[in-house]
Amino acid sequence: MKSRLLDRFINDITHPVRKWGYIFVLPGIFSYLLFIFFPTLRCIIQSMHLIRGVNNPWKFVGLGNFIEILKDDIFWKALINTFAYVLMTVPVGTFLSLIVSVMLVSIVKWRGFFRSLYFIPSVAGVIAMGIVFVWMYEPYSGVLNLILMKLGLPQFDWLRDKSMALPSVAAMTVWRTLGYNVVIFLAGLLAIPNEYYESAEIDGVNPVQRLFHITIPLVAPSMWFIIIHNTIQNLQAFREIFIMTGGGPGHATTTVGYRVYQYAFLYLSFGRASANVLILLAIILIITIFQFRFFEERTRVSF
Amino acid sequence: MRMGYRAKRAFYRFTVYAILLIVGVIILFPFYWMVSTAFKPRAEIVKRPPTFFPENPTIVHFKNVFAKAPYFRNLYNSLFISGMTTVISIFFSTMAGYAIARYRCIGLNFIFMLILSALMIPPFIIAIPLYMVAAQVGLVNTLWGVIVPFSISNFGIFMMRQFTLGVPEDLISSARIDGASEFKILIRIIFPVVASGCAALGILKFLVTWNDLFWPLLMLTRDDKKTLTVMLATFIDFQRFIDYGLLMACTTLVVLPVIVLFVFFQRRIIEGVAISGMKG
Repeated sequence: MKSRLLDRFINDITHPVRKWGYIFVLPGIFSYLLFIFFPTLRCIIQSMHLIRGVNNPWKFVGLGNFIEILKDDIFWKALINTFAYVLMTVPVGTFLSLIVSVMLVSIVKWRGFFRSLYFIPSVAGVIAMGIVFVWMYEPYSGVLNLILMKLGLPQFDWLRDKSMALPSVAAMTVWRTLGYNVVIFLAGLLAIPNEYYESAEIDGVNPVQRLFHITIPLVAPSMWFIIIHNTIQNLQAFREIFIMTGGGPGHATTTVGYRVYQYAFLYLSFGRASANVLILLAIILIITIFQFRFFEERTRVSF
Repeated sequence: MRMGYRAKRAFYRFTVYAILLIVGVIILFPFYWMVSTAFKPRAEIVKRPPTFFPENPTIVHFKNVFAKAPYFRNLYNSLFISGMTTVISIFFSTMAGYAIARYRCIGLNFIFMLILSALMIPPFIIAIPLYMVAAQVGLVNTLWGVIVPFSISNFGIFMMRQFTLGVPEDLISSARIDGASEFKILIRIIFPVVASGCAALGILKFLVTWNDLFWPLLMLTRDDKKTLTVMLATFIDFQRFIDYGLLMACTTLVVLPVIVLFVFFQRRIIEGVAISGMKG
């Protein structure tokens, strides 16, 4: 059996046409081994060592890093924050972008214009937009509080208030990712044949029924992609935290991703950081597999 | 009856446009506020109520940005890193994706499974060990050190495999009969046919690399080596008093190049994002 595989391999690699298959894939494999496989392996090994700085000798501690992390209150706080952040961003973001996309589909004029306009924050990037929001969230001269004051509504120190900080960052993310989600949704929505809507209109279906009984089931694959994509992205939230709050106030906005950064580049504790990152990977895998299962059941509709 | 229906439709359409316009204002307002703050003198920035439009516009903040950061150097670094990453990514991802999709060699399917299974690995995992190695061999603060590790992505290979699957077999086999070499087929036939896929991948890669922070933040610590994103992220110490005029001028200058690119290539960019969402 083994020698037959080897025979076929030798046969393929000496074949004048098929050998090019191996040649073409070689840079990809090389890059995979060097920049994905070995780093991941090294990360696992690092997670079992105590490492202080780049050039100091490592000390083997087995599962010590993981145990220390699980005993750490801040880790659990970060874990809760990460889940809370995902729950604050993904459902709201998906719903809002779906509504906006449905509206965009119902018009013809200016559709492309609005779509491009909404996409601008995605182009401009997290760091730049995070900084602009820090300025708008300023308690005294920030524009948000000034508007609220004019409207006679209560004002907050958005990013320095323990209960407001995480929702404020989440609001920026929902705002920023709206355009990306709209682009994905629109592609899905425009693929829905018009007959569905025409027959619904003849049957006198109202817009809300139409949304829940026709649009959402038919656009499910796009929605599925958006939910999983945003969940994976936001479980790793680091940049917006780095730029907007630095994990504060207290540890009110420290996420697991930010904790990784703290361990690695503020405390130079690379072993602990590696252990933390592996825990993050495990969380991402578990949640994604769960979501895949869930959506596979829900989207297996034939029409 | 008919008039009522028409009136209802007109009202519905008006409401839709009104809501879409309001969303547009919400999306654009932070950009307006950024630019308008950048042009306000310090006294006007902290004034309550704020002036909507700068009363005494000044460019002093922009001058300060140029004095404090090597802006054009950072712009060059961003363009170089994002551009090189994009080019390398397009070329090698298409090459590998094509091999996996179209050559019936033993082992290629296994390689494809390996690549697929690594799709969910967060970049953090790779960045930390790679940074340690890079620091030991002295690759920190080099642009190529930032470019090479993340240029050929497994997502890119996956995406280009999907695209090359759609290339008609006749096109390839007739070129072979004509005696074209395999490499020539790749360059002359595959690349032109999947050009839209290459563009989509390139656009995504460019935007993601341009806005990336974790990896370049680790690798680029010297001011003259930083990308615009890293420069902006490390521009002001948030623990101290923040000069918002300066900060907004800097943010404006950082955002400007990508917005200009977006205005020119918006159709392609939006198409690219939509395609990647559907193929992924």
